[in-house]
Amino acid sequence: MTSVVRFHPQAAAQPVDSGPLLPEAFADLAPWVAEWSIRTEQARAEKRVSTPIAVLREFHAALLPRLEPMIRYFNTLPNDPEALSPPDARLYGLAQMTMEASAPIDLDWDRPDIEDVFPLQRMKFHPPSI
Amino acid sequence: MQTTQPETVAQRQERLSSPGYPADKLATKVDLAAMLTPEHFAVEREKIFRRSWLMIGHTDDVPERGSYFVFDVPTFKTSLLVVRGQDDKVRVFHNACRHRGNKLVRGGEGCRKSFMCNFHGWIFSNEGKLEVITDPHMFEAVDKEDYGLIPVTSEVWENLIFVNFDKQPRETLEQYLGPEFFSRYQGYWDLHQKVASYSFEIKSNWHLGVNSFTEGYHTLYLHKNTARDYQGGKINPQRHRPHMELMKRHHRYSAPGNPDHKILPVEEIAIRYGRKVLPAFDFDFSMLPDGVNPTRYEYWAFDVLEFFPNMVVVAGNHFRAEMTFWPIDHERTLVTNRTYNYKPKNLGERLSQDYFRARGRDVVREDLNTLEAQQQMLASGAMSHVLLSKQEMALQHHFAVTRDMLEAP
Repeated sequence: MTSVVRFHPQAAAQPVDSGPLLPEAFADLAPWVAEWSIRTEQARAEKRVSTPIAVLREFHAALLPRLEPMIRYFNTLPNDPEALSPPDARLYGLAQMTMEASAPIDLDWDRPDIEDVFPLQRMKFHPPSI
Repeated sequence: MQTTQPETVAQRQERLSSPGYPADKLATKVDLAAMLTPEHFAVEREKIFRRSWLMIGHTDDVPERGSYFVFDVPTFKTSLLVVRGQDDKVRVFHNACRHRGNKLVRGGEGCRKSFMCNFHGWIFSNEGKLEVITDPHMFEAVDKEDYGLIPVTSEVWENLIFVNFDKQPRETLEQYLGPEFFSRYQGYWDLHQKVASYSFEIKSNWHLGVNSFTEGYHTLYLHKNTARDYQGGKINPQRHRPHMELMKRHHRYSAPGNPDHKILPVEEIAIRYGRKVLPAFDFDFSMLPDGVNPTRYEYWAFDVLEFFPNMVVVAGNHFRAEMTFWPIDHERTLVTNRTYNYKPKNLGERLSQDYFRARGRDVVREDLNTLEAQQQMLASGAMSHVLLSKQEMALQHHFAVTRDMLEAP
């Protein structure tokens, strides 16, 4: 996916910081980071509607068992997403994308977006959505 | 022997609805096509939009001294500069340098002590005073006092900033809002914080935009993919509104939640670590001011408020959405949608809100998806009128108020 960099440069697979990619307890989720750790609403929405439902399901199935442990971990940290360390921020992007990808799966759609709907590309996102 | 049937939701609405607006002025047939012409819109712009108080943003959007944002108003082809001064007062100005009219701040938001025009370097304070004229001796006797930024009539209600483009506003904001709104929402607008902001340019007349958010009839059909069982349920399968209140200009109704709403797997996790947000509803509204769910309907989902002419607020307990519909011309509208949620006390609650935001975004995209299709067919002139049911009483009211304002001298 060449478009990943456009989505969120900070989430690139090779972190610019020298620390670990993810917090230790979640190190096994590393293979998902490059493509799925996305920190802005617009980029998450674009990722969701442009990904085949089978691929969304694969991501969701892998992340769902870790969703509650992630939430409980984040609840031990200060309530400020902008102040997260780089590994925590990458994990947070994965948790956010899990929430985004859940809508079509919770609703049991056979596609990543509604068939006849106002196109996402015509929707402008403003702060705090960007 | 007389058996007592439980009151239906439709009967409840009839019993509680206040006769704030004359019923004989409501029409079930509206010649909407006639309202889509450039000539009709030109009159609406002067008689409706220029005479109304229009919401342009929040005092929260300018949190600190010097905070500002630019709001371009397509309806009047102008631009406003909203800024909190060093004296902490929020002011609205025409966004024009007083020298030769250059647009002073080109867009966006930020925080500044002063604003310098990029054309000839004139500087205005964040209270609108002209502070610096460059090379002043080349001007003939100019008093800087006379050339501050030009104010736009504005007032703040709760934390909403309204403007009025009339040269001499005919009503105060309090009179415009009326008693049903003015004193009954204390603290409500502070309960939440902004979590999303979107805009859409739509090829459709502004009435169609407002109308698409002020009835519940469509929800069974249009939202079958995204929010299939959020309203009504077994006790109210047609999703009749438990309360409907028509005012001099505005209206408000309550939407019925479904007590048997089926909570989906991740939705369940989101609720466990956060609070219920559309399409799930927390039926505890005890902490809300009495303007919200005014008849205290037990299975209350949210209220819908139309601030005539162009704002619709979906007002829930843990969330609200504020939508504005700014006509660009007779067949194009700028729609804004700002979504607010309860203030999260931890990151888990923020993630919970991310779930509901994704769900809610799709519902809005469904709502917007009918406008251009409807515009095309109505503007074709094929239909002499549209039909409005009792479920669409708020639309009947919207068009009656439109007539009232167009008929005013």
